[in-house]
Amino acid sequence: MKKGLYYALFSLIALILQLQFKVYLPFMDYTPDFLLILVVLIAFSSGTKAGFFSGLILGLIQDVFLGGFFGVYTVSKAILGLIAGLVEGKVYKQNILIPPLVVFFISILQEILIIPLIENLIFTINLWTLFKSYVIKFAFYNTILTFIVYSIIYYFNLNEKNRRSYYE
Amino acid sequence: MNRFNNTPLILIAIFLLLIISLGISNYFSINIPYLSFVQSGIYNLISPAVSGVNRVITSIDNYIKRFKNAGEILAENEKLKKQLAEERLNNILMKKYEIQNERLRKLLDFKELTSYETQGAKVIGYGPSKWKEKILINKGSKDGLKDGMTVVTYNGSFVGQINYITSDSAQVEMVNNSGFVVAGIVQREDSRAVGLVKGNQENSKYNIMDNLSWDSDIRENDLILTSGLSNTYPKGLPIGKVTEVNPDNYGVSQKAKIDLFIDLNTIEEVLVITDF
Repeated sequence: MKKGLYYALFSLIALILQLQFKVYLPFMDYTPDFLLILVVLIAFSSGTKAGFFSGLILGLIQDVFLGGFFGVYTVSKAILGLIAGLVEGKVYKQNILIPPLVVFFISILQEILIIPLIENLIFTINLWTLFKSYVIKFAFYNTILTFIVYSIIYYFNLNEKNRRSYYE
Repeated sequence: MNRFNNTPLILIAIFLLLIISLGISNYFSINIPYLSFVQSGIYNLISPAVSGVNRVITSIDNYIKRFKNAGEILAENEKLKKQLAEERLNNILMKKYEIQNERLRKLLDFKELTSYETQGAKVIGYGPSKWKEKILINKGSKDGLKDGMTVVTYNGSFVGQINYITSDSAQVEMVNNSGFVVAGIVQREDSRAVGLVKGNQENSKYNIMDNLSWDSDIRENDLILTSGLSNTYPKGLPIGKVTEVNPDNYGVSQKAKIDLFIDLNTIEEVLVITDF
């Protein structure tokens, strides 16, 4: 229950950051996908089920803020949450390089899933140029951001553990 | 002991079922009334938080700026006072021209130029995807806005059209969105060539104007305005400037690159035309 509330709060923060990123940092070329990062981190810590449902809900919210309902992001984020959840339990959570790496590949996968689903896009654009000029940069931004966020989470977790072991 | 966890498979099955059922309802145009209700519910639940955060950050930012730039503000105030005095003088001259203009219009029996009624709005966010260029504004149906209204900047440049609205916020589809099409006309009196201005996904900084006939008179630096042919947008709103003209469809038509007047990354405030 408590975890669910935390996730809801983080989701709201991620959404606000995603919507207002360009308002405060207009010089940035692309907005990182804060919602995707959150989905991957939730999946990474709680598994496939949590990854799937968080992807479904956050994707749905993203679609609502794009003027639709149950669109490409609902589908893609749910699938990606599920895929990211498969990593849970198979790698060391202490390794702070793994979540950024997972986010890098998941970001590329998201764009690969989305581009064919967008009307008219696939026929009007050179996909390789798009990959070089946008997809890689987008994935890189997300990776850097995940590294920062995960480092902060890791540091706080470590502090909490130290504090607990000190009192015990 | 069950070593295989089949949760992912169940989830995939539920998900596929959901997609298929929604696909079928979409294909047969079955209207599910709850969906739009849920959609606006989610939007209405979250959007006040977005505009609230924006308001708090703007006021903190203004507060800090006030302290930081007090000297600059005073100097600017002095400068603006001088400018205002000059503008007053200009205004008197303009008044004279206005009267003269009115008189000449009456003489020639010209139709009066109408100005539109507008509603100012602040940009509180951008669309959460690169593939749909959108802005969120802090005014909605409560302030008299409606779906399909045209949005311009303070100096009148064309921004886009409202395509989703709730009681106190609205989403504006921008002119550089890949699916956005507006009929444009060359401003030059001796040309008036008409074409379709479309968003360009590869580079959202400029648009493409195509469907121009092979002999239409369009040159670099020509101004492109909304044509008003479709009655969807008001006539004569500036869209951009031509930077390049190339033959299209093996010379059967022409295609032009349009440098947009609006700076898509730094739009802070917009005007919504409410009486068109």
